[in-house]
Amino acid sequence: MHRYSVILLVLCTIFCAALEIGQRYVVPRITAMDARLDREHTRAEEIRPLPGKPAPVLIVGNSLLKKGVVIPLLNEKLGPEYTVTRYVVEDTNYLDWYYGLRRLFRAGARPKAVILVLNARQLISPVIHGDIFASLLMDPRDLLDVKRTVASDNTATSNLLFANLSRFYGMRSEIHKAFLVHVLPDFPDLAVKLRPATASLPPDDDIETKASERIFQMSRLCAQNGAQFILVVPPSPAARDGSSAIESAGNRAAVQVLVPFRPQELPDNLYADGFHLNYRGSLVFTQALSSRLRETLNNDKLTQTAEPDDRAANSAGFVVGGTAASMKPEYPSGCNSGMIGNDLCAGSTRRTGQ
Amino acid sequence: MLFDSPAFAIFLIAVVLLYWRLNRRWQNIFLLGASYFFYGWWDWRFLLLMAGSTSIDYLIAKKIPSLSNPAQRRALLILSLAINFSFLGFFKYFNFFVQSFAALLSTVGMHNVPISLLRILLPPGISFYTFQEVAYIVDVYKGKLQPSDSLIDYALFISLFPHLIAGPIQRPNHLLPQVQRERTLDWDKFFDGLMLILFGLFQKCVIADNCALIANSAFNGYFGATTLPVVLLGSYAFAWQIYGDFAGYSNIARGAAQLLGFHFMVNFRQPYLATTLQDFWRRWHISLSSWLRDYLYIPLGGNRKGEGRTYGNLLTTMLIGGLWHGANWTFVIWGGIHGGVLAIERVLGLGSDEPERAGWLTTWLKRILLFNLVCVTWVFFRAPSIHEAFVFLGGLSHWAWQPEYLTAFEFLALFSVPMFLMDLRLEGWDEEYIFQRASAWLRTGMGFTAMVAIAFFAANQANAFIYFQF
Repeated sequence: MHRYSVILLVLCTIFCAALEIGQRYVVPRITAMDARLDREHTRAEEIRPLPGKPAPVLIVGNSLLKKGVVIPLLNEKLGPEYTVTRYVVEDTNYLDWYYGLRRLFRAGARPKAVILVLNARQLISPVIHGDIFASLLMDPRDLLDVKRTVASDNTATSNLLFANLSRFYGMRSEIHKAFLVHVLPDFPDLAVKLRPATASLPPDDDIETKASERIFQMSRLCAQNGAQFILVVPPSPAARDGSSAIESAGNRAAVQVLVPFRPQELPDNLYADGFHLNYRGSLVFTQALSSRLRETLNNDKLTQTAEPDDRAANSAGFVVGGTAASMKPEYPSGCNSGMIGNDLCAGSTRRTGQ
Repeated sequence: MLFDSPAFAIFLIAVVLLYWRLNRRWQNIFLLGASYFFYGWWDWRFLLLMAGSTSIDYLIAKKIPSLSNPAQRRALLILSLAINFSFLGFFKYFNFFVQSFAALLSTVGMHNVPISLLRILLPPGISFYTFQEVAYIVDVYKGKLQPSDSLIDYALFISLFPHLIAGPIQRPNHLLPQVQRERTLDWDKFFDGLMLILFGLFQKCVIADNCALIANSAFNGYFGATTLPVVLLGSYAFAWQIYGDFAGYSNIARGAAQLLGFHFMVNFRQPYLATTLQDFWRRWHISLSSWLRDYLYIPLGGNRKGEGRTYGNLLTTMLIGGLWHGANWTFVIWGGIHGGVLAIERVLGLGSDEPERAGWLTTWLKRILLFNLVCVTWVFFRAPSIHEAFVFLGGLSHWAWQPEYLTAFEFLALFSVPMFLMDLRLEGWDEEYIFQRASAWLRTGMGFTAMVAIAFFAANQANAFIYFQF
């Protein structure tokens, strides 16, 4: 059986190599998700300010960003001074993006500003996105720091390293999911029902304390790499979403926090599933966000000649917080009547207090 | 390190490649070092505990045969048992007993009794290696086994990494001689080892981890209210999850041991094809059930002290066997139900060693009935408390149907039927692992097929939330 042992081992080795090569070079050509991830990751890494070109802005987040912000509209509203590049990895939280931005900065990314779109729960979450985080966002040099931060054991830590080194291993859950859907077409309907119930939000004081540490941490990371940090809290249909606590945390950490809409401020018919915005909702949100972003970014221009650390200190004196009412766009009834999509809502917003 | 992790694969490859370049003496020293590295990878703080208890038992076992006074021999045996069970009792059961005592006091009106709960970490594998140490010292005491002259050999018998964390519990007279004698590379056994590892990974990563998605959702209430379909989904899914998980781990352990020239005992023999509960316990976790029979049930008197005492011994053995699985009353209840049914089978004369002459239909009806009985007991095994177990089982009386239930049953069938078919093959062909008697080419092909299935269908429990994101 010596020969067959060798044959079996060789077959398995060749198969593993084929999986790795396929996942790296073939799958991105045939699956939209992998192609998008590769494309957005590459573009994020390659962000550089160029003379005479619009200032680059990087916006990162999870599905709340993907479904809540219409990037072409945002670029239209922020242009020609700014150009926005998006990088979305679904189901990510704060720690995923803290380490993800460390990796991007090390790779040479130099946006003028980094916009992180997370809700309160995701901002204070103690977890990482597992293998996909390790594969797409983690720099192996941060492995021990990640281990300490999330208190993972040796096996889980080694799994993260392996997921970072092997594209197939890092993405195998998505591959498994794809095969499941192929074999059981109704699996997505079942999976939605199997989603764990969301735990209740902690008290605002706890959110504020945790969030302020993280907001300051992220702000410092961005400032060390010449970027302004802006946190955006997306709208929520829930009665309480922790956004006021996040705003207070932003004040405490002297960092810009934008909350374009208060909890339940947007009508339910602008949400697709009770969590993500639908297309109409995303247009409304993008419109509101763009006006506030422009003002925030323009204010930072006043400090752009300062050293990065000084810029962080200067921006500490400027906080966009307070109530959203002063900046609240009014959208006409047309926004609720299905006329969104022809710029009716976008063109007819008015701001009070200006 | 978990058997299904890349770290273990790298570790195993490195150990096997270096091991076969050494002679027996250095093989044992090398394997001992590798096993302690493996254990330290889990938690280095408990290396001293395992080394200490190993050394104590080695010294006591060396001393026992030299004593002619039976009282002194017995005293040393009791000393060893007391030390072993004290370690196990403290690390695994201290908080359980303290909390249970406090709960008992509150039932008689003594509330707010100050209890001191310690933050005790559970040493990995302590239940398994303690039972091995006990088996060794008892066998030496009874004269069935000569104590090992070499501390290295004895320590390796206790800590050999394939079985250290999750068994199978190896008998001293089976494994220790293998440790003590020369081992040569047998390519037939090496190939068998590869096949055991691949099929073990298939059972663990494809069968068990996928069934766990359904089982966890049913038991955690993600399906909504607990109804008859949810109870069936949860209990059936958990039945295949625990079987795939445990049998898979055992097969990987056996396969890894086989790559190193060791033979481990078979731990599972198609348990869900049993027709009586007694038959089930001859097929499920065989290393534990035989240990309990030989070192607990028989010393208590077995069936030699009359019918009443026999039933008491059965119940006691199963209650302790239940508690061995975990520090929770649910495990005790689980063991108690099994003990009670075993006693009833004995009263009714079922489960005798006489070969069944039942027809095909009767056999399958018995199998279905027993499978469902075992699934009911699994509810207690899986639920976090007795109350929640009864609440879950209460769903049997509520009927409701959602379209997703059908998909869930299809999902469960997709990942349990292959295991069931594998068991049918093993039952019919009396093989130690599937396709053992097939041609070399077929076995190679099936091994590769298992590899492909693992690559595309292995669930990832660490990222289970991924499956909910669409």
